[in-house]
Amino acid sequence: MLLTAFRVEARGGRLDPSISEWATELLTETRLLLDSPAGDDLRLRTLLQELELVLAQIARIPAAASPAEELDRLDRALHEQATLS
Amino acid sequence: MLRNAWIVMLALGAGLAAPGTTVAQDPADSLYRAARERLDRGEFAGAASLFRQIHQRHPQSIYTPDALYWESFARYRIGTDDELRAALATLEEQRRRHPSAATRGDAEALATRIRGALARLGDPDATAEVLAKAAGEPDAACSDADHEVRTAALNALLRMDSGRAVPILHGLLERRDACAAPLRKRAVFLLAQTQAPETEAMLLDVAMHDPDREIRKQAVVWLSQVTTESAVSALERIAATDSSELTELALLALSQHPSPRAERALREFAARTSAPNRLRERAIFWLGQKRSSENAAFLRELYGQLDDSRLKERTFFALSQLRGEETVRWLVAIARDTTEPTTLRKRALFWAGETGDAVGELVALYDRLPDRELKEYLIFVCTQSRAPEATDKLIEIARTERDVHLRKRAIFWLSQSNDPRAAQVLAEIIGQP
Repeated sequence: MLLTAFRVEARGGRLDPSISEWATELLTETRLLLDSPAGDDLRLRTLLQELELVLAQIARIPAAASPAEELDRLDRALHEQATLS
Repeated sequence: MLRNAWIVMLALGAGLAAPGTTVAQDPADSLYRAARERLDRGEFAGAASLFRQIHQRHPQSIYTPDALYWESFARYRIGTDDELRAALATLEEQRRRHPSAATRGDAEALATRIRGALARLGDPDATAEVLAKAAGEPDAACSDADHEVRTAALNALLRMDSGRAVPILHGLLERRDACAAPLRKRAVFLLAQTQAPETEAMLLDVAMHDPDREIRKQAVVWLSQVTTESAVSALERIAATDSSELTELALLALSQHPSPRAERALREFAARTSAPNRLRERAIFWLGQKRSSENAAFLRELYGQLDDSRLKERTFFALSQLRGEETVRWLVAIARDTTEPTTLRKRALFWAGETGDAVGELVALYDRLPDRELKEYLIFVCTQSRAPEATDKLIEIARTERDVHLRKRAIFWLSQSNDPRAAQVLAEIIGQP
């Protein structure tokens, strides 16, 4: 849901601050899971690591050197990686 | 270079930056782009090398402060002893040279995770650092960044030595101030991962007494992951509280618990006449999600004790989820029972059809039903089934039923069917003199 909301916003060239806050919250939870016994499962770990990278980038977009470019780059990366599927 | 940075800031401030455009040329533009692409593709060694080139070759680039963070992130992902040490050194360099970098907030939490990984590899210095961070500093600020660092340290400590982590978690959960709420929320999750003897009691205490509603709810949810009998007792106690929100969650948690006692607790709740019907409905629903002959037998028996038609209908639904020929026979018997209200008899027919089991018994009921309204409804139920016996029955009704109204209903539904036999029968009927 967050990734879908992000892509809608990204195409408009702006990012609502609440999406970054949401990503930060989810990032912490993803890391907790990664470092918990659940992270020992290789398939789940791979999925969580992909998610961690995406969330870490979304969380930091507002403070990035070039937020608009970051939005566009990450939107394309999400499309290529099919993280939404 | 500084001028370039100002152009970027002004352009962004004025909302001039459009996606896909580079607002000002930076000598590290292409390197940064390539590094991020490598990172996105999971090529961490290549990404780390490119990020390093950014801060080494272009120290004035606007990308340099965060390049140090991303280099460290990539090295952390590689995960070997050497790479972890290099990652820590890179974060230290960022702290010294770029204390205001946008990624600094997360850098401390990343450093703690890296120390946790090194501690698990037997590094005594990293172990000592993790312990100190997990214990927390007395004058620590109430900031998200501090919470992130402490959470990472507690998580690492839990993996290294849960015996030392649990008392710290206990102390944290006893703090009831609003500032500690985000930490308590994480502590509940971490505690649930341990199999310490005091886990259930601590989670129960949080569920009943924490001032934060969300944390109370989290504690109930995580109790379902504690696979002990004491956790079931704790959930039973929560289910008996006055808070319908917590009771509903406790019922969900009981449904997820592997213990047979948890299933029994759900059955007892469903039968409890003093409980609100809305919550009894939830218990009945969850019983329908756990396929067992005991649950099916219980629900059939419970039906006879219920007065409320909504609860009765929920019981049909739960039974339809459990499926089985015995359940279909029971639903068919309800449909035939003339002492039951017609609405419920129809619902029994519908849910019997939804199981997809014993379709033969269901369609055979058509000839035994004296009631025209129910016969018409059974025709509809047959149309919802994919079983060939159901279409066979519809064809038979369309050809031979003496009641014109019922025959017309069967013909109508056959005309909506994709079954090739239906088209053939309709052609026959049209061709009759």
